[in-house]
Amino acid sequence: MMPAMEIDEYQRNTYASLKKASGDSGVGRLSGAAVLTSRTICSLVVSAIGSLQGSAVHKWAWAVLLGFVSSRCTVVVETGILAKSLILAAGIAGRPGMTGGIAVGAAAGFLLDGTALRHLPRFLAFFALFELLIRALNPLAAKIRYGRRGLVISSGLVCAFSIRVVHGLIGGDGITALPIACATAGIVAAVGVLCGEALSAVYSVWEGEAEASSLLDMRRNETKYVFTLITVLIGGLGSVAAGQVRPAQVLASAMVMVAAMNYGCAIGALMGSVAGIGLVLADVQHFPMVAVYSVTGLVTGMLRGGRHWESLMLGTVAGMTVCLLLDQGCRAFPVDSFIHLSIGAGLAFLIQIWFSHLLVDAPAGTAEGLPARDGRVHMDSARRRLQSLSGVFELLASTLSEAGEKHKACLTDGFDILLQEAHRRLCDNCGKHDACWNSRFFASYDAFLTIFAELEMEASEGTDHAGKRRRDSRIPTYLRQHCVNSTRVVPVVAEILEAKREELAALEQMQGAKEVISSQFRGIAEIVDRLIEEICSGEESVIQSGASQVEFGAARGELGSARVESGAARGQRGRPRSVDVGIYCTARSGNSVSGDSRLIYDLGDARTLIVLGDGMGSGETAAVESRFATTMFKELMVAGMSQRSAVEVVNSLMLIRRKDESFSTLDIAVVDTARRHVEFTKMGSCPSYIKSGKRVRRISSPSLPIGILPGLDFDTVKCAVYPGDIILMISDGVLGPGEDMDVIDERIIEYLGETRRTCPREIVNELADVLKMMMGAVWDDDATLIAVKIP
Amino acid sequence: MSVKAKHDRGCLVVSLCGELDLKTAGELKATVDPALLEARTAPTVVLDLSGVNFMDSSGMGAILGRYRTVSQMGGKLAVCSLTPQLRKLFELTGLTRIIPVFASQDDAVVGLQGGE
Repeated sequence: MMPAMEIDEYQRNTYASLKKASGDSGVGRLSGAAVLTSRTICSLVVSAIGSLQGSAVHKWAWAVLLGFVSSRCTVVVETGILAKSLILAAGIAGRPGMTGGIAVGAAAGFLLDGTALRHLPRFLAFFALFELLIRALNPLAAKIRYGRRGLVISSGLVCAFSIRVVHGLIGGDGITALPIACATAGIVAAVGVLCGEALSAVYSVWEGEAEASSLLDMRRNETKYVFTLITVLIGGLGSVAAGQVRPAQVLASAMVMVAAMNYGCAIGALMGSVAGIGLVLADVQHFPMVAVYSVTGLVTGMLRGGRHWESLMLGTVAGMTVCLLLDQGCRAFPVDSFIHLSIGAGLAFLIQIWFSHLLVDAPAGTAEGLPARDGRVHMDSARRRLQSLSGVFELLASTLSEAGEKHKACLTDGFDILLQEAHRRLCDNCGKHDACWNSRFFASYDAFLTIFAELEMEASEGTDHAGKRRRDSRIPTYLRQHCVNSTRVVPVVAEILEAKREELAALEQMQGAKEVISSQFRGIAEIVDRLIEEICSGEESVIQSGASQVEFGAARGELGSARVESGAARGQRGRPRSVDVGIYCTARSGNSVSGDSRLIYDLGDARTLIVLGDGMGSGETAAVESRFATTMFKELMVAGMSQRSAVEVVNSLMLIRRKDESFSTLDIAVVDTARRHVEFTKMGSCPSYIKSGKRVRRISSPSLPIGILPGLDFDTVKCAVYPGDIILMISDGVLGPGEDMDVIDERIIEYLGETRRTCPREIVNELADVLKMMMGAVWDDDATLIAVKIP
Repeated sequence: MSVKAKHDRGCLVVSLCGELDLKTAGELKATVDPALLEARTAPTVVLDLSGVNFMDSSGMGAILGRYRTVSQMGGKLAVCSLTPQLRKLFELTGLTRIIPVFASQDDAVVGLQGGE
């Protein structure tokens, strides 16, 4: 710990020691150059940023001002180094138009400052030589390493070095001119590169070529330069004070805390060091701040993920602790530090709130955090690609649908085309063509119109053989009198009409097929959209351990039950809820295979899918159809398709699958144990029942089975369910041959209302016995009962 | 099951009697399909189910198959004289939404001719 002394005396002693040690050596001059550079460059760069907005003239004016201000700075007892650096920076940033403005401004500054007038020739020489080199070597830029950037930097180095050497030799410095020239060139190049990178980054944001948040991506080079720029800014403001408050330290504190909250403790500590060095560049008395800011950044970053004010408070306390430990015997030091840290923390809090949308939610700046960022980048890329894919499928679906509509529109108008065909077959090469179609056009036209209309009407009224007898007597009198081919008119027109009908039928079939495919494309697009939602939300459908799918064989009288663990979505509290299922199924008398198919599947997120399918007919063929329908539906639901879309897709698949009858009923129930509801979709299926204590609700929604028509009209029914409720789903075989349907339906309701059994298996078993007794112990059709108990 | 077909005012009227199930559904197809093929224009078909005392999903499938064929040909199909049980079955499966149901043969023929 330092002996107690006034901080000012410490400062003076330290600075004096440093100055004495540096002497006239190049190192000392570089130190001084760094100090001066850091103080001035900040304001100049800020001016440059401000010049980015507005018209070209506006920007040029700001460049002039920039050059003028830079000319006021002395670096290495040389005025003009900063102006030269800025000219280099403008070239690196790809803004050659700025160099002229900077040169003009700098020249004006030299002229106005009599003491700096002697630097004007050297500066002008540098500018002229630099421009000459750039223009002369520009064609070779492609061959130079790093291209134009390399050309600019190299030219700046050469110009700065050569001008300084020449000046030194003229001034009689002799060999000592070389190290100074090297230092000068180095400073010009280094500062120029620094400012050039920063200007490039800022330019890209202001001109919309890049997102502002991209500047804060720690993996991008531009970010490093921007933060360095800010550090230089801090150093530049080092000498500015507002009473007891120094804006440089406030800004440094804020920058360190913002970096720590967003990028973690490692980055926070690093930025603390950088901020401290920035302050040291301005004034060496700020050396202890390196430690203070490093610790502040480290502690603030440790609590990343919590509340902002907690992180900031602890970071401030940590910084203050270091200040107290580094107490230099002056009360002003910790007090000043506390003031600056506190104000900086407040500023950081506001920055976090106002600009959080610009700050990338980056992980801690450690290697272990990088994969998450990589993953997010890949995820964003995957999301965009999936969005494109979804758009493609949606476009395909709408295109197919629209094409069909256009076809329909074309088919309605066609009489002229039919007439042309009739004209071609009857009237071409006819000797009376001109007489009929020139002299008596309207009469001929009307006659054919009459023929077409009558034959079309007869076709819609009666069969072919019945109408044929009438057609011959319907030839218009005009044609009988004037047409030499009158006997062929009717047959030809009939043939033309028949061909048209066949064409219409074929087109309608094609239209149907297009609609089918269109619905499938739309379904795929929907699945992809669901995937995108999951990717963006980060949710996952978790299927817990336990039976996720239960299917039972179709042997006669086989009883089965299953316990399905419903998946719990990630983040939900509570143990997974399970649904108990009881199943009874039997095949038609004489069959070994039931045409009914049933499927219970855990969809995750506390949802269970129950599907009961009944293929048209019975036996193996019906089983194949129902199995196809239920399995395909399940697969589509698992893929993320909605119930409605999945039903439509399965319907379309059934339509195109087989030429002969291929129908199936589908009774679908999705039980959501978390949200306490069940959603039914019934496609030609029997009613379902919900037992809630003694109350029984009957759920029915008549709609066609699937596989009949392309377009489906159906509704879904959502019902609230409560713990202990029993859902009963049955196939049509349970209701019997028809005459007893109402009676059986009432008996089911009566049984459910009266039974005190709670086990689904026992319920289906007992109910099956009851119903078989009613129907004479024989079920003449495939019959299935499924009972589901709500946990 | 017996299947009888006749033409009435341009309509093909098919009368069914007995059980319409997996075994007898083929008879319906064998009677109706050839008549549909003969019809060069849009056919109109009426299925008289007054004599059907039992129908399972196979029978439903046969009726739906004929409906689809007739629709594809641009024609119309209707059923008539349904017993209460069959009507219940038709309502349950939603067939009444697409297949017109008439009280009698005559009503069905007139209804289809009138474009109902």
